[in-house]
Amino acid sequence: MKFVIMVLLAAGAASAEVPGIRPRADLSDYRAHSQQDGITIAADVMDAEQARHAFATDVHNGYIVVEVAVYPESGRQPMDLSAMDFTLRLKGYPSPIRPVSARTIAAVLQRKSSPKTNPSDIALYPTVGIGYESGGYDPVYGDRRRGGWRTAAGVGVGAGASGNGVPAPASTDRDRKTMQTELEDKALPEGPASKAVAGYLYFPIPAKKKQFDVTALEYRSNEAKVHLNFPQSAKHK
Amino acid sequence: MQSSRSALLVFLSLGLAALASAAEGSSLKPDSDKGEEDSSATVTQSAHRRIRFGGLMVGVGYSSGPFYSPFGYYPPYFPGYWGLYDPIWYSPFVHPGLYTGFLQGPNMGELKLKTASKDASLYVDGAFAGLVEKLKKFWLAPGVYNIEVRDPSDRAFRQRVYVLSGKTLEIHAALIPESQKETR
Repeated sequence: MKFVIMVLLAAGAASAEVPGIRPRADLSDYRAHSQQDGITIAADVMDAEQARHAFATDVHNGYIVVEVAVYPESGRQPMDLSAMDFTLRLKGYPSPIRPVSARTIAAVLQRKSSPKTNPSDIALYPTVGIGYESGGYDPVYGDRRRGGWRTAAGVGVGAGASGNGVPAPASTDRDRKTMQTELEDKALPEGPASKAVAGYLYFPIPAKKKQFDVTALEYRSNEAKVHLNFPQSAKHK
Repeated sequence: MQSSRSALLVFLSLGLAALASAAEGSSLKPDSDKGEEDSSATVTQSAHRRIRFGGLMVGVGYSSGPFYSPFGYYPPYFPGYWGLYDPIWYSPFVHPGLYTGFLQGPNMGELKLKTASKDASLYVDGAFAGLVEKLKKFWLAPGVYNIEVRDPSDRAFRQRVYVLSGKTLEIHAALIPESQKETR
């Protein structure tokens, strides 16, 4: 029985799709690449328009998306890849920025798109109705009811009103889970890597920065250190 | 008319009671005790109370006679249900699928499918959804779906799509022969 379970688990793992995206055919297709300590890393910064087309999630709204490809040297031991080993440097911003997880981004984006509610808001819904009744016998009491025109009026009052009853785009829990799944699926795969892998890293835009230049990406782990300078500063709006 | 007036009074008194309870129970201080992952996205609450009109709804209806409810007669409690059209009850926002057969709604995402092949079939998560010709636009609940477009000449297009509520996703399905599909 144990053997069967092991075989099934192994088959499932083998059939599971590799997360991340396909590395580009040529290193020169990326804006920057560098080789150090037996590892080649290539990267490209997506501008807001590219990110808008590549993602259903509005990740461009508050995050810098960097496409990263890692090519471990053949013959070396699998490297242990972690998103936290990468940092991004912006022009005029002294501190390096670390990437954030898909889960955090999804939660923040859901909260941003949720309508702001005020528990003391009052919403009034006046209603007016008009109708015509042909009359007839009452099925319970048997008496005859006269027909004619009927009118009705009312006011619905709601406290703590939130918008017009229609949920804001991408604001539900299912949306949050979907956004998280998308960002995780396309993120740079973490864990042991023995062949080329690629994916996106999501860096938060520093507060009050509307336009900035991405100058460098750095990978620093126990095994290696790779520094990439972006030749033409990648402007991000 | 008398029942309408009494109902209006009931609604207004309920409204006044709601106003009073809202005034008592409103706590307008932001919850600063709870930690936030991202301070820039903290939602703060306005200290102003607003009264907002949700809009005037007007309805017209016709009834062929009185009807019986097991809970008794609706009038005078709910005058709108006495053979009259009730714009709230029949509002598409209350029942998004009432008029649409649950094909669309404010909490769903729209997919626009563009492909050159008109006789291709669309499969959503492996299940046949219909012909592409008739499904140029369709709605799905938020989630992750595997979309497949396949035509009779064994050309196919597959894509994993992420549907978010209130958003439109355009899919340009370029069909390629199955034999040319590269494996990953």
